Amino acid sequence: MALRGQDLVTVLRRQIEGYEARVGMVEVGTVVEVGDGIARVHGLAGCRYHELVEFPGGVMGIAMNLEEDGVGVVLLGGEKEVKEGDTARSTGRIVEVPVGKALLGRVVDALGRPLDGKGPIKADRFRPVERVAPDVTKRKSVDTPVQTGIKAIDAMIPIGRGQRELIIGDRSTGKTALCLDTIINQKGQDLYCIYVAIGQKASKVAQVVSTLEQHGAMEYTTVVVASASDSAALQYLAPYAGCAMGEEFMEEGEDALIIYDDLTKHAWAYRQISLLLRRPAGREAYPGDVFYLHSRLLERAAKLHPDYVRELAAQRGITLPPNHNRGSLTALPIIETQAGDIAAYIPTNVISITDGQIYLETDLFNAGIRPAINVGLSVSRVGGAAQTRAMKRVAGRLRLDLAQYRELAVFAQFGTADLDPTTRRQLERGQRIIEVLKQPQFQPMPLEHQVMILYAVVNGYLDDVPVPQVQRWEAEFHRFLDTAHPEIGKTIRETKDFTPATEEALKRAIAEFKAGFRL
Amino acid sequence: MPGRPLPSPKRYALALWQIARDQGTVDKWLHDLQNLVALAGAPPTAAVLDAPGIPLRERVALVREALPHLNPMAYNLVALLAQRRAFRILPRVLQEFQRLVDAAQGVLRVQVTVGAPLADREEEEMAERLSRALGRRVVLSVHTDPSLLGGLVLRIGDRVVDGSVRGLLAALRKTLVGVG
Repeated sequence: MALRGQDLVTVLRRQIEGYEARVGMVEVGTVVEVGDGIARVHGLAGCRYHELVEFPGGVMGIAMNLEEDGVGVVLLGGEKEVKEGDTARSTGRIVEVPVGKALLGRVVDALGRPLDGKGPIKADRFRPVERVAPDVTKRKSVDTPVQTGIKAIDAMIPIGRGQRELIIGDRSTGKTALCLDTIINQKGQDLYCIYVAIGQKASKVAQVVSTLEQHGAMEYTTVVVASASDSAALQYLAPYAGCAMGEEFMEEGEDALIIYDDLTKHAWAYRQISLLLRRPAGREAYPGDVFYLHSRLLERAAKLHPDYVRELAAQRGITLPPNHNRGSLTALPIIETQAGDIAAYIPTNVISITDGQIYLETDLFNAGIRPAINVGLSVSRVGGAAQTRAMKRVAGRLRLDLAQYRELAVFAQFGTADLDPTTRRQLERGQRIIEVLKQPQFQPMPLEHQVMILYAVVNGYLDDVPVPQVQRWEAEFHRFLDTAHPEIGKTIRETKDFTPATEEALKRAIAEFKAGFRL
Repeated sequence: MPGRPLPSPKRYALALWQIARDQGTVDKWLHDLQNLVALAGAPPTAAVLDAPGIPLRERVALVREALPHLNPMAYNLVALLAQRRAFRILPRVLQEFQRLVDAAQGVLRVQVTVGAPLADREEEEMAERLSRALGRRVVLSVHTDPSLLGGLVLRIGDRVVDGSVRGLLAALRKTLVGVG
């Protein structure tokens, strides 16, 4: 919309003439000490916890220590501009961020300011970053899946919309890769994604954004960044800011997914702020409320009850269809462990908060099993309630088969020739299942393909295929089904079910494929 | 800062005020405290009063010589402060003492900063209207600051009401230019 010079003048004139000057009372204080990102302000008697405080030059801060004579304020950037003797005023607001669809496709900082050079964010709504999570009456149990596109997860550790599933592992085990694949798999689906990068290298974040753009994922994704060079205050805020954005989608009756990468660095940032505020240090020098730091964040991810969603929509003058079952925020927090120690302080905290964990192991990764998921230690407490009927039918035995395989796996080292046929079959089945569960990065697999290949391997159709050929078998199997029998996949995709009729059709197709497959 | 924490100015002020109230010497104490603050803040004495190397007796004697007409209890206060090496807290003690006196007398101190000097009647009128509005006896202290461009700024304790032209222009600017 191009404004002619004259129009602009008219608009400005109208704004100035129509301006209603209002004089209000503000509370002020004086800066007595500033340094390390913290300003001590004498005064501000009525300042409230987490209130936004404004310094000269527009520098903002959050009041985090309320003391007898003054307030300890954590500065949000601009530390060099605040001097002793400056006047600080309270604003009566908590930190707010822009929310809504205007944020899709954008890369922003922890305060919602754009970082991608694509112009200002034209958001029509702002939300406070801190909020009380929905109470029990406003929630519904999780019943719809988040299709990650990763076979191992969708089959054995399924994630539902509204669940919190922790992704935990050492460095470079594929935690971020897992999350990126999940986001990429949402293309053409109905899930908005938010990726919050906390304390990471800016180069890594740039790579993530570039990957998402390449796969066309940015059109439904927002990236919130507080990189390693940003202040601890911004790293502390970033997850809450992202959560506020996700809550907006949730309360509008949409489904959203948020990834916190990672909460370990979030805890470090909070520890830094707390120690600088001279709060008492607890275990491992973390402050006493480091559990609350994460619990209040993760509790805000939920599945809302349809009645409540309808009520919220009515308040905005919108009527939803009667069978509307959306309105959720799924959280995938990431925790980085040291030397695989999942019993350390922060990991155990977050494990007890989330509804399950996906445990990635370095040994598995190095042995070529990628995604390096330790199925034995991983769990999803929502489980089958978040799976389509199709997947439940084929994946039911998968976990058990793998568990039995693991018990026997030690015998496979010495060759399988001396074992009895049952044991040998179990071992060979297990080896092929593991081969099938391997998956390259950036190749999330649609539901119907997952169902079909898992059906094939669980029911022994790959038992006669040598292990090194399994991946080739699978690739050609999918291609064959897409070209020769697309109707099977289509049925599964559309009905989300795997009826005996479909099963028969699939069996015939498998036989046909095997006849033509050359080892 | 290493070492013992400084004593609480509020507690000192409360103790002094209770003494002053019980002995009926509030005004004298106020006067004495103001003198002490001035002495403790002046460069030649400021460095000496809390200095680590100088013995207690000499630092107390210094004050006695500089201010011979303080009330007797005040010298006790001086000795206590010298012992704790806490003369630094005096300005805050005075501030708190003044606050306690005001509260007891139902007085509210309001700082007014104006863009252009007030006429005599204007100052009295303002004090009257504020007294009626706030229900306390208002004592004004008026300063002039031409950079306000007009209007005035009221400050009551930590609360500020900015009715200056400069302040209104800044608010207008914020509205026009927008947030973020």
